Amino acid sequence: MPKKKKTSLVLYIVGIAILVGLMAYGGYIKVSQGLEFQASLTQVATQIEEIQQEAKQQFAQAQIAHKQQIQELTGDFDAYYVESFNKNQFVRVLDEIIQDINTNSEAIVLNSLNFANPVISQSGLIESIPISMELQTTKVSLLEILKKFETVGLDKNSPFYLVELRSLAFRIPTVTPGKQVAEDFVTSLNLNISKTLSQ
Amino acid sequence: MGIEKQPDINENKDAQASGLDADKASTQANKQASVPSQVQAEQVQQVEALPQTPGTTSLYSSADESNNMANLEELGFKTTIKQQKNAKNTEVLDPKNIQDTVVASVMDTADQKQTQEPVLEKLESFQDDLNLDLIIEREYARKAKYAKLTFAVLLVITIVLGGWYFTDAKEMLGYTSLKQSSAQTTQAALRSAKLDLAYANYYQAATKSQNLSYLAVAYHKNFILSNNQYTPRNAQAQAKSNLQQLETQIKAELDSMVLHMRTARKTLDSDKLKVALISRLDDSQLQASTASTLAQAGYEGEFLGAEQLSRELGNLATNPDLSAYVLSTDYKELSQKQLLEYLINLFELYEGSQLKRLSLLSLNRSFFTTVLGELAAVTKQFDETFNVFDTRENFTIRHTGYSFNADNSQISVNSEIQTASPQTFSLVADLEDAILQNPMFSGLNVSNYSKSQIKDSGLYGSNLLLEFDFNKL
Repeated sequence: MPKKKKTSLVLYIVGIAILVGLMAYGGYIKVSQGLEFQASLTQVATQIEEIQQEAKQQFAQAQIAHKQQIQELTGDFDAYYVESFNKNQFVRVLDEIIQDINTNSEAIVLNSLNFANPVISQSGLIESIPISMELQTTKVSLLEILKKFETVGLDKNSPFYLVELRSLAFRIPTVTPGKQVAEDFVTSLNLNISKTLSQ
Repeated sequence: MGIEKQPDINENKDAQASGLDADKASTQANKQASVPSQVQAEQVQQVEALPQTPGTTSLYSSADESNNMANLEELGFKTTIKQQKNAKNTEVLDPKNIQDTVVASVMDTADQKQTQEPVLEKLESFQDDLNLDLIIEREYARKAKYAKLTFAVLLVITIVLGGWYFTDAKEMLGYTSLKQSSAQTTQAALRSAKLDLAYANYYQAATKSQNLSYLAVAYHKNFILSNNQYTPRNAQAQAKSNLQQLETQIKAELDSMVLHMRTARKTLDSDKLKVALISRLDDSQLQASTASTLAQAGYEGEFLGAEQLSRELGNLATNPDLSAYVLSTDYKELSQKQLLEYLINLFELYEGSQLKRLSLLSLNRSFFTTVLGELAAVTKQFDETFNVFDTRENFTIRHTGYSFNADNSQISVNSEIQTASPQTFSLVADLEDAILQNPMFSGLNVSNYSKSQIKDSGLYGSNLLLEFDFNKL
């Protein structure tokens, strides 16, 4: 038997052994990876369950918080911030305000009231209705009506028209020696009533 | 011993075909082996003279050789080359038996060695065909062939398996293993759970954000009242108390909002999840959820509806400027005024939120009464009996007319100044400085001075138009 041929056979056998070994190692890797994979699946499943539980809890808490918040908000928000501006409704409300001031303070008279065309904001979210009025008032009454307009609006417990004072001008009556000083004076007041636009 | 009488090649073929057994052939051969003769020797010499091919499939190249073979049998040889050849070609020989056969054949003719020596030499020339090495070598070759084949098959299998394992062949072939399928299912479940968690956290943050809108407006209102000169003292004290409470509430809401936003952002750890969240914001799940909450709270209006909340939620989840501002700014150490400014800046970042727009309108309102109060406070430094609506005949400073413009935050004041000394302009300069020292005012620059002496009283009088800016906070 030639040595060369013997060597060749041995090489083939070694090669086969290596390949079988490789495949066995591959199988081992495959099985161990499978086991590892199963373990990771179990771990992930546990993680999923925990996350789901937390999500449910958070969602329930969010709903409760939202509900509580809504219950804290009293008043008709839609009437002031969503519905189309009702001019006549506003005029009636304004008269009520002036009447309240007259009852508690000095006389105030609304001489004129003008409504301009609504202006839509650049964002398209808000509509403003410019209003100008002329009032015959006293210093006390003027301050009262100004305070009223400055503080009403987006209130949790008492929603009202969102009034923005745009301009105010008045002159104090001039004093004439020997004559009684007039207590009241005329002032012009410009304001905007703002409301949201439904999209 | 497997020695067969074989008169000629054709007859041998027939015998093989008919399945003659080896014992019968052996008996016939023994009979013939007992008749040696000189003629036979001559015939062997003639056979020897013919061309031979050791180790080939046949030792006879023609019918003549077959005839010569018949003559060999006549010379007493118990075996034929043909038989050996056929045996080799048809089955694997037992080397031991073959050796016996060859040795026996040679031994049987040993006593005729002297006379048959050329024939034996002839037989030795066939050693390549018959010897053990050759047979073993062929056996090795056969095994090597199997080994080679096995190696090749295993190599191919290994390459295929390796290629399958280490490349993307599976994907290319559209193959999805059970493991891959399980992993995908699990991953999908994990994604879904994470999405739910992030969504719930953003929902919580959105409720806080909504509440901030109202709290900020209330905070602003109390801030103005507490700093307004025209607010009665008891109302001012109440406003300050409210301000403290509201500040605490606002900071708590901000804390909670930031916490939920951080949790949600941490949960959304992949772009896939972020995209999925955006898709979810578009669907009706929040609408259904908030509708249920609103119904439970007994609210059926539009303004507090799901749409408002979803806009808040959308901003918190997808507006990068907003989340960066909320998460990076430290609001805990801010002063009251700074907190208001922070809230205004924060609300400005919201997109498409009507609630925030209304809040901003409230927060950015001009408070004319506050401006009047601050101006009165400054003026009183020079004339203690001053009031805004001043109708006094004797005065040092009085303002006779006011004009406010919220669009450019400007105020114009018509003023009169009276001084006993002729240093009227110095008083004007002092008033200007005092106004500018007040943080609410800026931009005052009196450039025209004039005065005249009043005939009746002898006082020096000056008429001024003061135009300057006022801040909203």
